Amino acid sequence: MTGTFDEEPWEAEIGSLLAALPMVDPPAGFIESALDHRPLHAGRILTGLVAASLAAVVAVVATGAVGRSEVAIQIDDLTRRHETAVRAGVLSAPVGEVEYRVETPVELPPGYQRTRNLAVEDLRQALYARGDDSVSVFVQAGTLSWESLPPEGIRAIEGHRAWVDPERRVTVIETAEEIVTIVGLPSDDLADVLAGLPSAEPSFWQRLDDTVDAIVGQLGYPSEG
Amino acid sequence: MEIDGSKPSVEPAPSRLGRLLRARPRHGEVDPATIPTWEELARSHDRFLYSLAFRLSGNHQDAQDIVQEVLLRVRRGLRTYEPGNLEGWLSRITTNVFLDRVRKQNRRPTVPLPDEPDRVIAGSPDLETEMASRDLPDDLQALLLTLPPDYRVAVVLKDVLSFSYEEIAELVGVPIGTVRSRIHRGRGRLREALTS
Repeated sequence: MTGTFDEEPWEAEIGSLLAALPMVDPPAGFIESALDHRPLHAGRILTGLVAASLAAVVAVVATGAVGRSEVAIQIDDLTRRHETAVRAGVLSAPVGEVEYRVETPVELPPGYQRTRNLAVEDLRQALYARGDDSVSVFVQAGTLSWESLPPEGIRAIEGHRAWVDPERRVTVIETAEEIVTIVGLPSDDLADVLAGLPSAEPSFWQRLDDTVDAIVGQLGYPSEG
Repeated sequence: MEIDGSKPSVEPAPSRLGRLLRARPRHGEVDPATIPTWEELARSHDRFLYSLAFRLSGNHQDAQDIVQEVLLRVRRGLRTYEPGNLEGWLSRITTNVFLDRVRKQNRRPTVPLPDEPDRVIAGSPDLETEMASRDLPDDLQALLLTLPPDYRVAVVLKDVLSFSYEEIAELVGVPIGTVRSRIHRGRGRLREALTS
C-alpha cells in the first residue's frame, strides 16, 4: 500500500481549488493571550476565607499543568473565587484574573448557562448561572493531596476517591489525571449537571461520564428541602 | 474507478499552504534535543493550527476555541511526545478536538460512513466554467462546511495541508481505503455543489 491513488481529472481540479485556499492568521494577540497561562505552581496556597455561598454556583477550574504534581485543594479559596466571580458579574473579571477561552459546555442541565471562563495563572474557571443561582467547577491536573482535606469527607466511589462537604456544597473528585472540584451546586441539580458534562479526551470528562451514575448515587447530598 | 493502493501515481503538487509549511521542517523528524516548548510550538505553528481549525470549523469563533483546546492538549502531551511528525501530531490533536466538538454539538449517534470505493462520481465538462464564475475561496470554504465532518477532515488534510493518504490514515486512525473513499466522496460533493 503506497498511499497514492489514481485520481479522476475532476478530483485534481477540486484539489487544486482547495490547495489555493490561503492560510488564515489568528487574530492579533490571540496566541499570546493563550500563552498567558504559565504552568501551575501545584499546591500553591490560596488564601482567603469565605462563608458558604447561598447562591448555587458551579465553578470549573482547570489547570493546564503538565506534571502530576500533588495538589492541595484549598476549599476556602475555591469558594472565595467562586463568590468573587459571581459578584463580579459578567462585565469584568475579578482583579488578577483574565478571561480565558476554553472549551466548556455552553449549557449544563438543568438550565445552567455558561457566563464566563476565568483564569489566573494556570487556574481556569468556568462559571455557570441559572437565574439567581450560579455554579462553578474546578479541574486541576495532578494528584490530590488527600491530607489537605478533612478525612471525614473522603469517600470511595466506583474506584475514584472523592471528598464531599454537603453543607458547603463542595465536591472533590480525583480521576486518573485530574482533580475536579464542584462548588455550590444544589444537590437537586447535581445529577443533571454531572450528566451534562462533556466527554473530551483526554480529560477527566469521559471517565466522569462513565461513572456519573455511581457518583451521584453515592454522594449522599442532603435534600435541599 | 478502481481504488487500488498498489497503483502508484504522482501525488499532486503541494498546496499553497503546504508549500508554505514546508519552509519549516514539515513532516520531518524532530531531534529530541530540539523538541520545542509549548510556548515555542504555539508561536511557531500558530498559523498552521489556526488555518486548520478555521478550514474545519468555518468561523473564527470556533477556530479560536479549537486552537485554545489544542494548545492545552499539546501542553499536556508534549512531555510524552515522541519526536517525529510534529505537524502530523498537531493535526491529529486538532482534528480530534474538532470532531469532539462536533459530537458534543450533535449529541446524536454517528452514522458510519459507507465505504464504497468502487462508486464513481461522474465527471462534468462544466466544472471549470462553473468554478470560474464563483467567488472563491469564500464559496469553497462555505461548501467545505456542507461536508460531513469526517469527509471534511480528510479533504482538508489532503488538499489543503497536502498530507498523503497514508499520513491521513495514521492521523485519523482509519484504513487507507476509507481515507481514499472519504476524500473521493468529499471532493465529489464539492464538485456537485459547484456545478449545481
